[in-house]
Amino acid sequence: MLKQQHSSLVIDTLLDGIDGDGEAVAYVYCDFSARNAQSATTVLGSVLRQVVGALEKIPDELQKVFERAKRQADGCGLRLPEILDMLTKFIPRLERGFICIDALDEFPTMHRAQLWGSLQRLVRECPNTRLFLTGRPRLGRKWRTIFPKKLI
Amino acid sequence: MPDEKRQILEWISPFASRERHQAVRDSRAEGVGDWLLRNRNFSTWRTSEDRTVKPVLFCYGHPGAGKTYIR
Repeated sequence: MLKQQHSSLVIDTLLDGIDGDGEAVAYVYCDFSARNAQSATTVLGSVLRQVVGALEKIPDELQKVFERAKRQADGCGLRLPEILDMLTKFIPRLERGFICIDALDEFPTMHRAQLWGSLQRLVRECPNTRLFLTGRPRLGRKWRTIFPKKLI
Repeated sequence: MPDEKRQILEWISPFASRERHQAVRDSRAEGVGDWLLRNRNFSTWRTSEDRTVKPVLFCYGHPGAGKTYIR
């Protein structure tokens, strides 16, 4: 619970400090009780929603994908590769993109490799990404190997 | 926010974390985490324009231990 409170404080501090259109603050709270609903796709989908919400206008390429999906009967949503491609395109349009993910130890084990790899890609391809992560110490050691020289 | 933008955001993801955030914020004890905001690593991470700054801040804690650390 305390970690959660720290995350909420950091999120509020970042939100309060947003300067105009230049920054986005996206956040997700992982929740053990929602483990069946949480995956890399849902977490990063939510991040994409918040990043796009911070842009001045909806990017054309996203608008097009949306129109196409609307015309299709099944109208399926974005898949993880598309979400990641868009994030790597849109985050560089910001001055800084903050992504806060609380309680990584509550994120389902079976989807972790995919989420870790996706965050790795975002940090590698978008140097203006700032990640704030919370979790148990054991996970911290893991993260140190995922982000060598990039983790405080 | 125009309706279309709202519609597109909702299509991207139905998961907005705002409600959860609001609930956690309301339960936040006074003074919790002030040390974190004063931490030099945090302010560097938050404000530095330097592209060589470490971009990932990991904050860890033992559940129920009553302390959270940055390392």
